[in-house]
Amino acid sequence: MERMSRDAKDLLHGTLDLLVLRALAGEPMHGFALSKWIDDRTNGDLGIVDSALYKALHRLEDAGAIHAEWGASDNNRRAKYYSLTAKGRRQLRDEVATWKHYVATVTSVLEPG
Amino acid sequence: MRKSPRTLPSGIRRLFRLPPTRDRLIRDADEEMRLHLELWTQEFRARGLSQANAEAEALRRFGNQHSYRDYVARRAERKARLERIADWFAEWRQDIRFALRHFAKAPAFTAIAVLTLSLGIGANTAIFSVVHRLLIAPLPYPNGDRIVALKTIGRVGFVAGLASMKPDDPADPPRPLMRAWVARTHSFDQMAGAEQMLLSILPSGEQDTVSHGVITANFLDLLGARPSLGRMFRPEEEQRGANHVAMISHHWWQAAYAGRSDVLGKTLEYEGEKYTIVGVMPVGFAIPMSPRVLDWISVPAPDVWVPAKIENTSIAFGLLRRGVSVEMATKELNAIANTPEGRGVGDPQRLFGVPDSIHARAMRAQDFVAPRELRTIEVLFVAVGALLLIACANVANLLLVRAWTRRREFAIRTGLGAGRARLIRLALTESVLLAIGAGVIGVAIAWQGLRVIIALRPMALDRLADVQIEPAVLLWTAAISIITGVLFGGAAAFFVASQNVADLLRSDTRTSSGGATRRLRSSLIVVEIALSFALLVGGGLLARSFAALQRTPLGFDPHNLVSVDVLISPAIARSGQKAVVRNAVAPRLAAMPGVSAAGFGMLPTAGYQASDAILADTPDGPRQLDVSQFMTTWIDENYFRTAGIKLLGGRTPHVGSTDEPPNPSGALPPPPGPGLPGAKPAGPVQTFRTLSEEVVVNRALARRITPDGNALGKRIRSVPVGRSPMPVSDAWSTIVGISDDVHLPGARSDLQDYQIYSLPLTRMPNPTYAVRFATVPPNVESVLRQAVQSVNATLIARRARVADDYLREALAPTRFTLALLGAFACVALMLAVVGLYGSIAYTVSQRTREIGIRIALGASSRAVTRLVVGDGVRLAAIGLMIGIVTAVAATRLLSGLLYGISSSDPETFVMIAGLVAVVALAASYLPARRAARVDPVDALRAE
Repeated sequence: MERMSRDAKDLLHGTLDLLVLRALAGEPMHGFALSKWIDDRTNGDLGIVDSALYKALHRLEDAGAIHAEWGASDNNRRAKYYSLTAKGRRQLRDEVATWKHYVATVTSVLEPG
Repeated sequence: MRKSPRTLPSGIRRLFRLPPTRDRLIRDADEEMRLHLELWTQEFRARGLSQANAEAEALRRFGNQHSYRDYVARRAERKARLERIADWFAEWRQDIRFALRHFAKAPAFTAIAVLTLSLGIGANTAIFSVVHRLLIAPLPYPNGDRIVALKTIGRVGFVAGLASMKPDDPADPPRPLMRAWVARTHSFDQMAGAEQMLLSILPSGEQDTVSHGVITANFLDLLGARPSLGRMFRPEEEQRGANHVAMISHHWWQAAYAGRSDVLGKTLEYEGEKYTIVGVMPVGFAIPMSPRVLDWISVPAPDVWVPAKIENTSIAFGLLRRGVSVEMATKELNAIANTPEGRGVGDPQRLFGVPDSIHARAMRAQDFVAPRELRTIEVLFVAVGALLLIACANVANLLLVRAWTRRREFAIRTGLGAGRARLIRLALTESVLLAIGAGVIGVAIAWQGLRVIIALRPMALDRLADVQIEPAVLLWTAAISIITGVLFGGAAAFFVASQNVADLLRSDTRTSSGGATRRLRSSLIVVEIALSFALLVGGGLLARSFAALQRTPLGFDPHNLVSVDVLISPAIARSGQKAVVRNAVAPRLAAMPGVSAAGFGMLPTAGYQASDAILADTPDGPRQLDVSQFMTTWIDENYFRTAGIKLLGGRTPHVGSTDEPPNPSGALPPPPGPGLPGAKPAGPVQTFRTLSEEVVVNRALARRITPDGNALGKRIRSVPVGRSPMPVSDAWSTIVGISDDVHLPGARSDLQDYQIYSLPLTRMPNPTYAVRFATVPPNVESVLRQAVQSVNATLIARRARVADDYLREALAPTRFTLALLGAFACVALMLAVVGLYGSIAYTVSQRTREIGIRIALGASSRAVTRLVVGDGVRLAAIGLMIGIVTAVAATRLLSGLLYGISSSDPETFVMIAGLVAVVALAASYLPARRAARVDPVDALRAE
């Protein structure tokens, strides 16, 4: 898939939080690991800048959806690890449901006939 | 993954010198970003890029570094700020907890401090309520500050006066003037009229003083008020014939109709007419700026209100246009009043002569407070201010002493990291909490105090009858509570701030035992003594004034003397029987059981006011006396005996030497004063006497006629000033007797100084009789009524006035001020004395070691006593000196209120100084005795 248009990127900004929550649902990650995870899953197609990612992380932390803790990385560097809180898990579940419903609704409109 | 420390309370953070939140957050974000870039660089290198390209690619991936760092910085600021606020709140809560715990540990101290302050704050609240009710928001209506009453200064036209009427009292405008104002003014959005009609016959036929109110349709609108139920009158209902509608008072609605809403539409029978009830007035509604008391008789607020056009009412009100000031309105009223139209030239309906000039005024409710009352309020305001200062000084002293006792506690707190600012804040929190507690209790004290004020109020301040603690007043209380707290808390905080931690921790009292604080405490005591002295001098001066007033020779005997008005019906007057009936009443009254004498006449000093000129007949022709006003009392031969007025020479006038022959047409000419638009006399023009042929004058007036006062046989007559509607005869009256002067205590004026006693003339209005009882019965008015009606059943007797009440009212203003000022002064002295005692006692306990040494070295107990008492005497002396200077200045405020004594009367000053000195001596003596009994061994051993 070629690079998406600018409009599509703006639209996607709002769903960045959703991706972050999904990524952290599995295991706690630090910022680099998170950006790599998303990059791998989407083949870089989304073109997400890392600073936006960190801003999303701060936003989610202030909202209480994720929890940040300093720890040691694999090569013993001091890194900040992010994990989901109970509230974050609930938010993830709700937003996934909403997203699926949204997609299904729009798709049904777009279908010919 | 290892955990790291989370956020810590700021105290610990400060203690361990951890960096503040903001910097920490920014550094963390930087570190995170650095790691992120490094790892991506590694990744790109693993994908085959060169080091330089990998770094560049990592940076490009990251996006705009600057905007990210800005974002981080802003977020860090926000979080740091929130944290600071949370910390601040936590500290504040902690301060309050500490303060409350401290109070719990020292209940006596807390109780004394709070009570002392609550007295000061309570007194202030009460007096401010009075100020608020009289001067700031006197009218409880939304348009209150724009409502003015339209008055003339001095009654225009002839006076059938009330003794209370002074020539510069505000009076209601005559009809022509009101009409002119309604037609010509531009200063008002609206004008409305009202009147209160006093009646003596209830619907049930009983006689009593009741009233109903008459208002224009827009009256409530002008005030900005709304009816409690139903509607106001409509303009068309003001017309006679269309006005059989009425509104009833809220009080009556509750009493007679149980507050039911089906009262609307019911029919009301009143004065023989039927009215339909269309609405209910707001609670407590009455005509604004109208006295509730008329001739010393309380007039109830009307229960029934009917509509009328503004020309048919007598009290006019205006709603000032926005932007129009009272002065501008007064100017316009005056201008119109002095046009021919305003003066009533050519007006066929006018009752009085056309005056040469009229002085008009638009008056707000505040303007009805006379200068004397204003002065009283000023004095009281200053007095409670002084009282509050004394209370603050006392509590400041208490706090300073406590602070010294707690010095170790403060030292430990400082050692634990509480900054100086924090300690000061702690001290202030305690003070403000004390003050707030005192404010709450103070409001309760003020409420009680207001009840006393309402009970004692003089008639001039009758508006205080419904004074209460209003929201604005509570705001004032809260404000002064806080300011008070900060004021005396500042004293303690000052102490705290001036201490050195090391000194504090040392328990050795040989170091300066709070030298600075002792000086501060002494100064406070001196201030207290000075202020109490000033208050006491004020009270003393007023007390002596009051005593002087009570000793004023009255010239008559007021005890159990009663007067009663009698209304003679027009039917009797038409039949020509008026004089006969009139003369028959007095003997019937005198014959009542328990009555020692009765006569024709009003209470002394309650006669008719006239501003006519008095001419004396001299060999060189008539000479006008230098008398601007005098009082005329209509009497019979029993009057002086009944009233207890001494005749200094001559005799009473003979009955029969009075009335001019009745008018040949048989119709009576209109009497002077408010009356019916009269039938004009037909036939030849009759002139009318103003005084009977034989008159009695009082000594003061006699002295005006001849310097030696022997005016018997001299002739005088009175001439109306300005044109009168009736031609006045130029016949002379002969002075046949000279009476003693009569006075009410208090303000003197020409009105009371010059008295003429005349036999009644045909024209005089309804008579008044004076009756002396052995003791006044409680139902005196109905007793009198029965006697009067036994002469003729159509006679109406009303307005029984008791001279004792009259007298009490003359003394009431001084009594009022004296009671309040006296109370404040006593409380102030009490506080100052307690403060002095506490201070000396504390100083003694501080100097225990020193005293112990002196005793051990051989000082006698008398020497020690002298030492301690000397301290107290020194403070008292300085306080008295400052107090004298303060009092001389402050008592000048009282000068308009004092009677027979000057505001710097030396005798009073000396007496009060002596009192304060004795009390101060006693307060110092008690601790001194304790000091003398100190056991030196204990003293030296104690710390």
